Amino acid sequence: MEFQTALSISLPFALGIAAFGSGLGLGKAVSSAMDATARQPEASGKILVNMMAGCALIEALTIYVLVVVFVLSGKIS
Amino acid sequence: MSQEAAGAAAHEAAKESSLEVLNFIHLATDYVHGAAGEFLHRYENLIFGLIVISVLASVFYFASRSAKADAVPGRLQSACEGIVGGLEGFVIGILGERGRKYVPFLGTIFLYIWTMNLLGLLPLMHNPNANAMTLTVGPISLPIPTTTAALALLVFVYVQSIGVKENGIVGYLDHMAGQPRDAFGWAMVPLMFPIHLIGEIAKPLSLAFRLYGNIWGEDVLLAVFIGLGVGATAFLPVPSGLPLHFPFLLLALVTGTIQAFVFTLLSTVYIAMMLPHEDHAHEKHAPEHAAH
Repeated sequence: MEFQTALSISLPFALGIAAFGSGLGLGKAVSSAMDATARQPEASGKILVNMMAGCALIEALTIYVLVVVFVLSGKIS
Repeated sequence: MSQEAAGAAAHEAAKESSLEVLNFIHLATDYVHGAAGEFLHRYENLIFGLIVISVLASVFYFASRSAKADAVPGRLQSACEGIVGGLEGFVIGILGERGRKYVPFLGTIFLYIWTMNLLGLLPLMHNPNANAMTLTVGPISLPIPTTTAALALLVFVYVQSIGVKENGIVGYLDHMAGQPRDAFGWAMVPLMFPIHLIGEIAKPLSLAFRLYGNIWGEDVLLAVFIGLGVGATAFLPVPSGLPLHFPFLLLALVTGTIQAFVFTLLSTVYIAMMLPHEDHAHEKHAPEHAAH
């Protein structure tokens, strides 16, 4: 098997696994934010700000995977 | 426009492995030859950074020029004062009243990144945050971001200098060593010092790569969908294209704002972690409360 075949098979899986993990993490974060907002609706602005910050940090990990995928996909010929 | 976009996209795809949308420097280098063309091509990102700086500076200069000190502020001045007030409230909300002197730096970082992200979405403009140089070490080639690494380096130097200035050099090293107070603390110093050191290095690295990855990924996504839209109507004799990339333009607006906000938020939190905390004061107060 040449490395191009290996890359072509594994890169979409890598991105899928990263998206899966990111979906789980973001779902947990947003769910906690929803619970907190339901508990205290007047704090919804602050909760939204903190949720956005948390989501951006979780998303950053998936973005690192995306960058690697783009870089490696250029090596497939 | 569509032919140039498709041609430039193909040109970039042939040069690197990623697509890029045409910007006016690419057009200018087609018409300007020789040393001036080389200069334009080489300093493309600097030119876009200078455009962002001049837009920001001129907007805020015209907003701060008022004829009389007690005159009713105009619309531009009110808007700019609202932005500055919002940034100040945000930074002070995290750092407290002592954070007021860090507001100019953090606010400028936010405005610079935000304006750069928004201006990069205009036609024939380019976002320098999406620029990276490829560093090849043996078989591995990494994209090293340029503009975002400069911003992250700025934040790193600023945060470390705040640490040295506010805590003193002894307090800074003490903070780096994990604040050894007893024999166990001193025994842990050879472990805590490298951990803190790596943590301090990882902060600007993550800042740079997070901003670069988000903006570059969004740009490549836009370029791919613009190419799809242009290719969808390729059978027509007239150069045209479908705006298939429109939802991703809206997404790029949102992520541009959010990434600017997260960069500023993390810089503020790093400054907060470097300043003397209050939790050590809680440790000293706890025995007094227990004695009551």
